[in-house]
Amino acid sequence: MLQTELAAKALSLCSETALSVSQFLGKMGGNHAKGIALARELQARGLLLSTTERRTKGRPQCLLRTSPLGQQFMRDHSRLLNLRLHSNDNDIKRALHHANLALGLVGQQVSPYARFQEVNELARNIAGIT
Amino acid sequence: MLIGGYALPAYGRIRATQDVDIAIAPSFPRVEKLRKRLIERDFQLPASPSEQAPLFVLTDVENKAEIEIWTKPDGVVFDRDLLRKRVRVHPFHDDFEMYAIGPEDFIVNKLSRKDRGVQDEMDVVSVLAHQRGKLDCKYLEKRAKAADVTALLRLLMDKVP
Repeated sequence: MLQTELAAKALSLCSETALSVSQFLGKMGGNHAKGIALARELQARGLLLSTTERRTKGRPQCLLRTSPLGQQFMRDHSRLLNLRLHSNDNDIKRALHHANLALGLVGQQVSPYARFQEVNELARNIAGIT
Repeated sequence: MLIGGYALPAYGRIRATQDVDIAIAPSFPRVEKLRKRLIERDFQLPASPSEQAPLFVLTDVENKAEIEIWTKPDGVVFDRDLLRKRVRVHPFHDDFEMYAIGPEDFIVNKLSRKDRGVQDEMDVVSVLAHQRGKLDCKYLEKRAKAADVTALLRLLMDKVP
C-alpha cells in the first residue's frame, strides 16, 4: 500500500526541479532500498516521471520529476491536511450503518452497486445536471 | 423538505447517499395521521413517532430504503425565513417537485447534529465553497448563533479552499 505521507514528501521534492536518483535518495533519507521501492511505486502509479538525460561526460543520468497527476496528488493531499479531518466515533457508527444497509440490500437480492447508481442519478437530478 | 445528504447537491458537491432525511413541521396529531397513512401505503415504522423524539424512521418496503422523518431537525427553526430560503428540486428529472432546505440552514443543521462527523464537516465546506459570494451571511450568522455553532462555522470557513 502506498504510504501517502512519504509519497507526498517524495513528490514535493521532485516537483520544483528534477532530481537524480542519488539526490532523491539523499533528500528522502532513510533506507535506500525503501526509497527506490517508493520511487518505483510512484512511477507505476503515474505520479512520478523518470527521464534519462545525456550528459557531456559519463553515463546518461536518470532524473525524477513529479508528473501532472503527481502535482494533483500533492494539491489534494495538502487540501485534506488542511481540513479538520479527524474521524470520531460518529463516523465509525455511520460507516457501520451504511455497511448494514448494504448488507440488507444484498440480503434482499438488491445490488448495492445498482442502488448506488440510482441514488447517484437522484443526486445529479437534484443538482440540476442532465 | 429534503435535508441532509440529499439536499447537498442542490448547492454543494454531488455525493450519493442512501440516507434519505426529510423534515416536516406538523403538529403532533397530524404526525399520528401521517403515521396511519404511511402504514396504509405499506411503509413500515419500526417504532411509533413520539412527541419528544426529533425523528422517526420509516422503511419503504417496496424500494428497500430507509427514510428518516425529522420533526425537530437539529439547529433548524421552522419559521418564515426557513421557508423563504428553501429551494425547489426535481429529484426524478420530471415534473415532480419538492423542496430542499436552503444552503444556510443546511450548514447550521449539519453543524448542529449530535452525531456530527467528518462527512458533515466536509459537506459544509463544500457548500461554503460552491456558494461563495451567494450565501446570506447575516442570516447564516444569526442561525449559527442561535444553534451555538458559530465557532465551528468560523473554523470551517477558514478551511474553504
